[in-house]
Amino acid sequence: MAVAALVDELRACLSPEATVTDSATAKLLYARDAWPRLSLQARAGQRAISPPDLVVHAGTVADVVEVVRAAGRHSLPVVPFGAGSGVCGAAVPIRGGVSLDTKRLLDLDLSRAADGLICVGAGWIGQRLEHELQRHGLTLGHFPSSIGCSTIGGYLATRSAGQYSTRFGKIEDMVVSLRFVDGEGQLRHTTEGPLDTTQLLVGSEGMLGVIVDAWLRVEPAASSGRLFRGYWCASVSQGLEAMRRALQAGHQPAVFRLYDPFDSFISGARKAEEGELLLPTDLQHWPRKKAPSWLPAGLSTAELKPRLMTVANELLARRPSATHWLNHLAGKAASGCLLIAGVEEGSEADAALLGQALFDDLSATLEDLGPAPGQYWFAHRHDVSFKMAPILASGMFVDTMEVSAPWHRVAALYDAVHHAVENEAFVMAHFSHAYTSGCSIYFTFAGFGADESDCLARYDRVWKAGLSAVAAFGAATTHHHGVGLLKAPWLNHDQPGGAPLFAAARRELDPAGLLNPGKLWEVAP
Amino acid sequence: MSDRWQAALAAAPAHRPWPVAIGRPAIFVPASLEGLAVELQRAPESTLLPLGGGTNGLAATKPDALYLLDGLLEPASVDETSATLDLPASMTWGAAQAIAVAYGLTLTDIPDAFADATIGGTLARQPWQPTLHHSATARARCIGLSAMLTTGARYQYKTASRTASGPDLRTHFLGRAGTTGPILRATIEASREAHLPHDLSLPLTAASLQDVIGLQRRFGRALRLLPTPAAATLRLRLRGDRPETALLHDALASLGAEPTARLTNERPAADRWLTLPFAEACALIEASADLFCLALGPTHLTVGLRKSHPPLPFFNHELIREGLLGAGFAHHSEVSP
Repeated sequence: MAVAALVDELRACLSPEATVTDSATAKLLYARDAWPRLSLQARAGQRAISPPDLVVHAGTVADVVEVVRAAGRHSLPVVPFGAGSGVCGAAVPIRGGVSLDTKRLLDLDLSRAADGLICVGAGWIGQRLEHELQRHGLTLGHFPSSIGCSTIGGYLATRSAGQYSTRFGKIEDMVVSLRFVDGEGQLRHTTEGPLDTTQLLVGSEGMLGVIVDAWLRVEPAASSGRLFRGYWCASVSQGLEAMRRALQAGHQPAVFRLYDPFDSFISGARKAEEGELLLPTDLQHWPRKKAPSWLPAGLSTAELKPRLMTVANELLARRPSATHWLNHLAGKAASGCLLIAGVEEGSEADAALLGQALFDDLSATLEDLGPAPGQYWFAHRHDVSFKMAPILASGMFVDTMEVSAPWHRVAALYDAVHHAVENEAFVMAHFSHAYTSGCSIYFTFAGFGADESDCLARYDRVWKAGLSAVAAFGAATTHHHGVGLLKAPWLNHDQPGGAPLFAAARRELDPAGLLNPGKLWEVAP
Repeated sequence: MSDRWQAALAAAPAHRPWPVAIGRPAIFVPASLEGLAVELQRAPESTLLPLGGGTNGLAATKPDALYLLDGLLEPASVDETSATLDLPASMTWGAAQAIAVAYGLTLTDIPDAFADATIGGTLARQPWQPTLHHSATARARCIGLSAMLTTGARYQYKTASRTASGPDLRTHFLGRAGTTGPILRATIEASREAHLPHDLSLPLTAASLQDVIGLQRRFGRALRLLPTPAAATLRLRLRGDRPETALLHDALASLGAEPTARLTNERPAADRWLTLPFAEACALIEASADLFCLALGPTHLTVGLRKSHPPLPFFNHELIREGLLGAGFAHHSEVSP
């Protein structure tokens, strides 16, 4: 009854650009984001956790105000929704209510671009904004792999990072201030009071306010000043040490990515299949170690990958749970690690100056592979977002886990997480988002189950084992994907004692607790 | 710790049992964190505040009592590999720097009053300033934090290589002047490289500022504006270990910049500081170059005025305030050098 009344109210008061719908299709579409667990549930025939009662596309900031106020009058939750690319379940309306789509908030103010500042509506898709900025010789410098299907509001609400975070920082470094609608429907600016609350709203995942626009720092675009170089490292440890030394020596590359041995092998094999032999000559034939009896020696890299896939399929067909054998196989097959370094500056001359200094330092200890690996990565840098769907459709489970640690713990953390999950899933990793004091590890894991139910249970065990290992190590359980439902149980590990502080902020900004309820510290550990 | 606080403490009993009260406002020296927690719970809001080195003359509130954290906290520790220091809040920056140097590290962007200013005191005075991304503050170097709420409960932001995604509740304590509870420990990023700086000075004009802004945007990692003890002057520091240093040196020389002796603890004599977007800063300098410059960020400049500064014909506080708010800045923020 409340929902029907709310629909009528909203249709009467919202702008012509807004839409209000309670159609079954809309509710199904907005019942989930891109959290792979929800795909597994859907594949298993389970219904959505809880669809929204209605979906509103706000056309203006005033619409957002009206929606929050009207929902409040009917005690219905409001869950902000950008492009739905989140992978942790943050936008899932677990208590129903209104899914409030912000993609039509598309204001863009470039009047202060000369000062390095723009004001941008929360609904801008990252890629479209970047195209627009490039037309004016500017860049935000925020390039998540989801850039084609994620919004500025989503970046801010989750405190996200792009692939060039080592050079440009995370979204928190780019935001100067923002406007949001609080839980009582008041439009606020984070710098209006005596205390700047910008960083309180950033990362609050829609629980303290609906972000409607933000002032962001921009820099000169760098399309012409981009240089890459690939390097071959004997081990993860050698690669990490080279990254650490370069960053602590003052280099600030836009791209700094180290792939673990099997991720490097997969990359090299894929490129070899496409006629781009990117590995050093002496690494193009496997094995460098003694070959196991089931795999003939002397295979080229291109021949090795299909052979490995055949062995893996035969193994898993006989015993779906034998993923530790698959990890073992990967360890046998792979040797060495690929490191990609890239600089991006406002001009070719500046990039050449800064790039050469970096590349000279790296070449002192690592084998130089030339520009091809980096150029290949750049051309395919967004592919990962499109690879999960076919894997999920094949009956497997797959997900990614991004954690971070200070440098002195990174290698050991990699080993610990790998060990923790290797019995449940096949796992590989790369190291990116590197800074002077530490680095993020980006694990990719995939596996099988005897049936859909077993697949889901195994997926959950991987996450629990992996993040428990991270927590036991004292490392950070999230780096740039946000918290959502997935990682909320570990918030008290990352920020012990944060619950009462966050609750106090929520009482101040959303006394009725109607903004995205049941998330972050409201999830039971 | 400053002389006046040292004198006050000298009058206290040797073992400083809790509570010790000296004068008014009373100064307490808690004997344990548990004891401090109990007292914080008893105290009405904002009547009990932590005291650092006593270097801040602008108290946010007038408390009935102050307390020191000396002696309560675990010693400092150093992570050489990650180039970070985990420091107790009551430690001075000077002591922390001595520890860092012993491990081949350097703490950058520390307060000028490093001999007295404490880690906790500085962080409690510095709010988040993302516009200072390149020319960082001590707060921007803080990657881990431990604090106590006024309820006596504890909060910790565990050290991350950079802020993790999701909420960051350090803002509850940073820049809050102790009113929300004391900062107990902080993990601070240090620098490993030798800076080998070159300091240069050039006359401050709207044109020279525009050129410097352009250079800062290209090479912000190597170029930093230093506080100017003299008005109408820009003083710049170049990191000597960067590949772009020679290029910057030549570019600044062509603007008329001259090498200058390295600055040490020189304080600008301005009475009021304004953080302005570049357009407003250039307009202000165009009208009157008799200004001090404090910090240059990727989007803003912080300038200072003396109380005796003659009125500026266009200098309308309300207009500037509106301009700043419109551009997303806090209105003229007081920035301590």
